[in-house]
Amino acid sequence: MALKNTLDQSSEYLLEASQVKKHFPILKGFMQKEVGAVRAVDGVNLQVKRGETLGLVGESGCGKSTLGRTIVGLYEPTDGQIVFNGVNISGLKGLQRKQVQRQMQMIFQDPFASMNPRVRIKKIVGEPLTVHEKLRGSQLTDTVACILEQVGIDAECMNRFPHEFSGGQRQRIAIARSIALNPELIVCDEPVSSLDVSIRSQILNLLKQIQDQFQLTYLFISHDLAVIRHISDHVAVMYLGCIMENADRESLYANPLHPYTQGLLSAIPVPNPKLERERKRIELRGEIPSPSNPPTGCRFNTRCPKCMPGVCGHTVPELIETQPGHWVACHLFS
Amino acid sequence: MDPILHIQELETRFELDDRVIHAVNGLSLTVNPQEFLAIVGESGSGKSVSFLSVMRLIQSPPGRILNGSILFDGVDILKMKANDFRRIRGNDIAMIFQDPMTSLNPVMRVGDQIDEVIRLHLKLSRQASRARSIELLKLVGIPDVEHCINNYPHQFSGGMRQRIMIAIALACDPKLLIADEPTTSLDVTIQAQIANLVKKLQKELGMSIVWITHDLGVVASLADRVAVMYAGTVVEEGLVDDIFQRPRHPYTIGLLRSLPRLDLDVQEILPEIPGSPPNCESFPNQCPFAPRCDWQRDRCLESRPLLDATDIPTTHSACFFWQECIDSTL
Repeated sequence: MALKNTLDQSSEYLLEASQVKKHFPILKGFMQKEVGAVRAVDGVNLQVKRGETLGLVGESGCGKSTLGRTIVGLYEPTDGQIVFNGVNISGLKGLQRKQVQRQMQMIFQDPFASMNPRVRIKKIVGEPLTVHEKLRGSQLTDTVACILEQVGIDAECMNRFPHEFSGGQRQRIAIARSIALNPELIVCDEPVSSLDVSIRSQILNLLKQIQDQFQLTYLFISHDLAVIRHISDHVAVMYLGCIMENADRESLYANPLHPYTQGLLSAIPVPNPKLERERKRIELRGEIPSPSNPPTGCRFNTRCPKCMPGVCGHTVPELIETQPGHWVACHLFS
Repeated sequence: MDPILHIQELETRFELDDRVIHAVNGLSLTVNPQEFLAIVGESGSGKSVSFLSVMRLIQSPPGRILNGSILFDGVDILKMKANDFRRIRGNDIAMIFQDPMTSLNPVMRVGDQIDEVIRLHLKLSRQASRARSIELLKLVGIPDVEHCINNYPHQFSGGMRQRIMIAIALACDPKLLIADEPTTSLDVTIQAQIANLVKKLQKELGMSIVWITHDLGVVASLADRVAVMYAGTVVEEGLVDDIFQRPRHPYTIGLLRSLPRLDLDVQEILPEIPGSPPNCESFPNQCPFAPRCDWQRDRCLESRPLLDATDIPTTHSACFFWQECIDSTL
């Protein structure tokens, strides 16, 4: 497969995932017999360049969050390998795992659910420092204060509890927690989706600012194509556990090749009434099928407006490079 | 043409033991016949509570409507007896809610849920109401209706459930349909399906629609007129093209600027609105947006600007300095 060739030039990429699968077994009956599997992530190849942002976009249930969690090690992949900084990290245990773990952090969608409500901000942000750096006492307080200032939270607030902050402030605290150990990769799982419109831009700007400041690499997961376009250098479009299209931002938005990407982009209303009236829409019929019983052949064939009978329902299209850097998994291009 | 709904100086509060939540603070609004009005606002701006007040669904205590009048077809519904209003709710005014899973009865077949509305308001027989239910479900695009009319809500997907909610709302040919963030919990592709469906149904049935949302993209694609809410009141209202092309209130300007947009070039840094939205406070003697506003003057902190006409008669703005706002966005 053509992707293999690019896998060899490893140093340029901080993170490479090849053929990553994550299946959740469906158990039934008294003996808990495995009767099937939810194939949340089903053979994903991804590369993230050092210092860049890869946007991962898809509808709910497409497996984008599962992929993010598998990459940071919250789930053990069913198959495939994840190479981080040149080291295959799937299957690492103990101290080695811990050392890799501190290089990757995660920011979650809901800042109300991702923090222990009974723990003070100082401990929330300081916990990674106590675990990995063994910081204690005034040293810890000073470091936490410094980190909080960087995300725009007054250091005097560090003895407060999460409920005393608004959603936007909590997301800032979550960002503070994720940068505490000076990681290389941050997986942002829908970090602005639960925030109000006027707060969203503040958090997006902050994420960009700390990325420049600490040379961070982001895997940015979102369902919002406008947010993805704003923050990403590269974009991967995911559908039912597979990558459908992968390209740099400009070519993906200017020239979307996959019918699914085209449908997604045309479904998003833009805040411009004149443009909206003139726009022609490609309406995607139906809904996303269940990942426990995905369609045969191309995953998208049941909803695809350009589905070719006899082809799309039988063979799975491979991700091929149609233009330099623009990969698409569709039979229209093979 | 007389407006179908005319809200004047509405004030709704929730009086809790330790504090008072000022959800709606002097809201005035009109909805014209066959109009698609979008209500835009962030969470806590009082957009949902305003229309729950219209439906008289505010639980009291702790909720209380202190002031104001809500004229529906010329009659003040706040002065109506509860029993009389029951004949209007679900019949002349219908509402769809955000989460279709929690607003449908999980232990009742969907067909029965639609029948219930029809039989209650239209007094039809069992067979006639079932026939109407099937017709409605076909209208909203449920496939294979005869088969799945006896299914339970959990057997449908989110998008299909929202279609069922729409069918229930349309059961009695309402004059006014209130949709409270009906597409927020749905995926973009499903959202587009539902939005197109509602727009199509409005053309066919000729009702007025109030669409409550925080998504400015949806507003641009659907609405005829827009009202922007902030801190429990309308800060700007006008025709959709005017609001998006040249907003006349600093909050609307800030909101539109702060969006990452697919129709414009990528900006390195997004313009921000500083601070966070107020948390259900009341601002009797100042502009509620003043603490976050770039154009703030002394006057903004001394008295509260009311919704007033601007240079175009269809646009109203609650800002003393709307003229300067326009000049600076030219």
